[in-house]
Amino acid sequence: MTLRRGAGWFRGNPASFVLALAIAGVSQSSATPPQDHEAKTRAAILRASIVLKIAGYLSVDAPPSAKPPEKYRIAVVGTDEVAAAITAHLPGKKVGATPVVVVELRPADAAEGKGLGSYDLIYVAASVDEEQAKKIVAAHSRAPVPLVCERAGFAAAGGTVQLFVQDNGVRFEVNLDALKKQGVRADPQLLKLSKKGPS
Amino acid sequence: MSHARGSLRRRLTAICTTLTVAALVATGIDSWNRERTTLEEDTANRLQTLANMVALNTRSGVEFDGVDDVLTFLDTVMALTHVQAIAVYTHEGTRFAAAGQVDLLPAHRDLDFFPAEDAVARAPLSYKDSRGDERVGQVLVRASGEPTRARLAVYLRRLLATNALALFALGFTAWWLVSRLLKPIADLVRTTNEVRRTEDYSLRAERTADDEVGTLVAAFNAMLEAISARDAHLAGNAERLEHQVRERTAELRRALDAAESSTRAKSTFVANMSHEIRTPLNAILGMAELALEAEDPKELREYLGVIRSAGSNLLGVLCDILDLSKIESDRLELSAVPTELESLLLDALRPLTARTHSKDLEISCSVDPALAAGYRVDDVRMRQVLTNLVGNAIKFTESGFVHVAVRRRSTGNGGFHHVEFAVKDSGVGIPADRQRAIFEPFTQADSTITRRFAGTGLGLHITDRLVRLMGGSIDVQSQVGIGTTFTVVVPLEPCDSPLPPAPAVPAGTRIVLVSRSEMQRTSFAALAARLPAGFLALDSLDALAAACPLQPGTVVVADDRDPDHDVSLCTMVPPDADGVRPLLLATVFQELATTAARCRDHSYAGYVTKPVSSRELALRIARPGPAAGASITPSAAPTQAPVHGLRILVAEDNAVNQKLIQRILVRDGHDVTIAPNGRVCCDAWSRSSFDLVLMDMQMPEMSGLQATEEIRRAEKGTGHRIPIVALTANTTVEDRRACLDAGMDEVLPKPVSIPKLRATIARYGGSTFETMSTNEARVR
Repeated sequence: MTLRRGAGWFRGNPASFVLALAIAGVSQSSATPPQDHEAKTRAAILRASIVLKIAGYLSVDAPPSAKPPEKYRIAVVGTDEVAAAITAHLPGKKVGATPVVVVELRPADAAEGKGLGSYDLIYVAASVDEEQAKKIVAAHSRAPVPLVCERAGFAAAGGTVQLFVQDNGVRFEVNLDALKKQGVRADPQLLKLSKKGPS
Repeated sequence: MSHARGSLRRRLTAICTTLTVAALVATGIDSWNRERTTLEEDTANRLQTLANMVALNTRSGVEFDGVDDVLTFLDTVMALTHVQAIAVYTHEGTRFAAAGQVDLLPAHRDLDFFPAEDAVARAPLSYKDSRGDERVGQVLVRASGEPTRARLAVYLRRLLATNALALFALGFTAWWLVSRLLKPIADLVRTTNEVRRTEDYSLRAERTADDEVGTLVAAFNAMLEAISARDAHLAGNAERLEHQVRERTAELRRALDAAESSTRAKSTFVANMSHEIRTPLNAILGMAELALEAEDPKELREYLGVIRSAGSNLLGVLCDILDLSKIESDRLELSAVPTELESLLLDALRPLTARTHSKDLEISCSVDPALAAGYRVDDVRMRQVLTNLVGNAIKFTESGFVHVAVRRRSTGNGGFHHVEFAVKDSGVGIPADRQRAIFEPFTQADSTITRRFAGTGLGLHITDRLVRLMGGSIDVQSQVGIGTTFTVVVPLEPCDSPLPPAPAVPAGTRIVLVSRSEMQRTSFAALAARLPAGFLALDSLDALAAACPLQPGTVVVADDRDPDHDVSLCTMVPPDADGVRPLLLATVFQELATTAARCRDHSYAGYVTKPVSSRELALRIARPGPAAGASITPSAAPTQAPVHGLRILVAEDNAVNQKLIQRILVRDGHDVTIAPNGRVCCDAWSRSSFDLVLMDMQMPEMSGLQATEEIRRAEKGTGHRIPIVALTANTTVEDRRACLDAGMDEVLPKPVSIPKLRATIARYGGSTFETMSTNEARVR
């Protein structure tokens, strides 16, 4: 089952548009004033924390004999402000009781499925083009690694979790079909908060 | 000491009810507290659980800033529960979301302040903040305490209702149990009140159980029994006391009457005594004066005779008074000695026959063959009794008879015989209403008797007291003009006879009595039966003539005072081979000399003295002959041959008495030595030889008793023993015993009777004693 509340990522959604603008503005940071930069940084950090929170509500069934993981490995694919915030702020944080480790993964490697099984969660930055994003989704469609991305239509495209902004707040859509295929379980409270993101 | 008030049932019921109320209140309070605690804890637990559940379910909403989702959830919770409000606070304390009556919740969690009656629960809310750091917020749930209070109120009402019902049931049960348990006590109390009100101690409480109360009821009934018994005893005592008081009052009245009567009698007695004493004194003094002036010896002899008679009367009066004095003062003691009753009776009767010479009066006696040979009796006092009774009979009988019958009436305890002495006369008789009074002192049947018959009126009273002292009784039966019978019954101890056995009568002896007196014929019949011998009673000489010729072995006893009949008697009773006619004359004491002469003149076998004893009759029949004419009895003193020329020592301190006894003895031809006291007497006895000592008791320097004892001590070992006869005015039994114990042989009372003195002298002075024991002397 897939919770699809929109067909396109930006269609009819001003917030998404604003977010897109913001993301676009990140790339032209030299031209933005310091106040905006600071606001963008806080927003990026907020999104990074949301990724961390979402990681806490997702879990993968492990065999009974498996040792508990020593690290919670988050792979960042692509570059944007959120990926930077994840890389900068999440290491040392904990998912449950497990400290977080952040690694960067090239989009091509991710699209090819390299390092499959070495990561617990993959954040796909907005800078990754759509085609590569699809390949990455396809490469990990059967792997127990939830994929989080802020690109509109990501969940509809088979991604696991799609972040989006709504009513001045960051919301997310959880793709239940993807979770099922990947063998990832989501906490009902996470599902309860899941909203239809832009397509 | 305070007493509990109110009934026991009420108090016990109150105590039980109070305890029940206390128990119910305590359990009610405890139950209510438990219920309240349970409700409050349940409410708190449920509220806490709700807070925890809210915290768990709102974490994601807070983390992802999902206020709407949180609100939706809180609204759902509010709809499903009865809480007033729910709020979720961030770690900074700001209220993230709230539902319900939001105004009941603080805007900041640190500002919370809630009334105590409301329930509040808090739960921590862990979440990650916007930077991914772990934070702890709070969930606050507030619920009203009203439902809990309402439930508690309902519970309290039910509790009160239940307790009230329990209180009623327990109170009623307590009242019923107490009433049931106390019913016996209530019955007991009711019975107690009934007994107290009616004083009816025959009531009893009903015992309905065997427990302690039953025991109490039994004890109460036992107490009533004891009270009833005590009341009955007291009533009996009271009745006895009343009876005794009545008896004592009657006795006192009788005693008072008796005392008054006695006083009157004593006054009369004193007057009589004065008369009785003055009369002989008057005669004595008057006749003495006449004698002093008389020149004719015959006239002088007549005066002296009157003086002697008056003196004897005066002596009798004095003896009676002395006896009465001793009896009244309980100083009279009896001394029982072995005695043959027939001899005692004859000793009493024979001297009295002298009083009958001027009367047509026959004295006779009969002795029961069933009597024992001897009896232990105070012979002196028994003789006095018989003398009084027979003397009275003679005194009050002008003609006819006086008969004394002695018989054994019965056998009592301890082998004692009840012996009856019946003195029957044909005298004037005693009126019935005076028959008891004659036993009173100073009393005679009729005051005129004193004038007519003389006497002090003491004789029967003394007799009555003596008989009672002997343990016997005296009775009188009398008819005026017919005669009187005095009957004395005394218990006597049988013993052997103190006299030697009577000689046996030859076999085939037949006694033929000729007497006009039927009483004599009857008496002789009894005598003949005791010998034993054949007997034929004839009332005249003609009858004797008709019975002739007499059979061999026949002894005729002729009671005939007429000497003119001797010719006929000699014709009808021929002499035997020895020339002695087997005929005995029955005579009286005063006619012994005449009778003896008749016997000698007509060769009669002898005579017997009336009243005749079986012993004397047997002696006469066994040893007939004139030589045996003397009486064998000690009282036959007049027949004792006079003794002359004895050396007699007289110890007497009174000069008059010295002269009197000296004159008597000198006139009889004795050699007399006078000693004025015991000491001189002993000296005289030791210096000279004497045949007899006449010893007074009371003397100066040495008494007669002491002198006698000294003489007896000195005689020891000598083989000689001089007879000593007391001649004393001390006439009591004790005095007599003292004399005999001191060693004297005989006691003669003063005033001395010259014939008796002569007889005693003849008895003791006629022969020399060769070491005769005192007992033997007493028997003699």
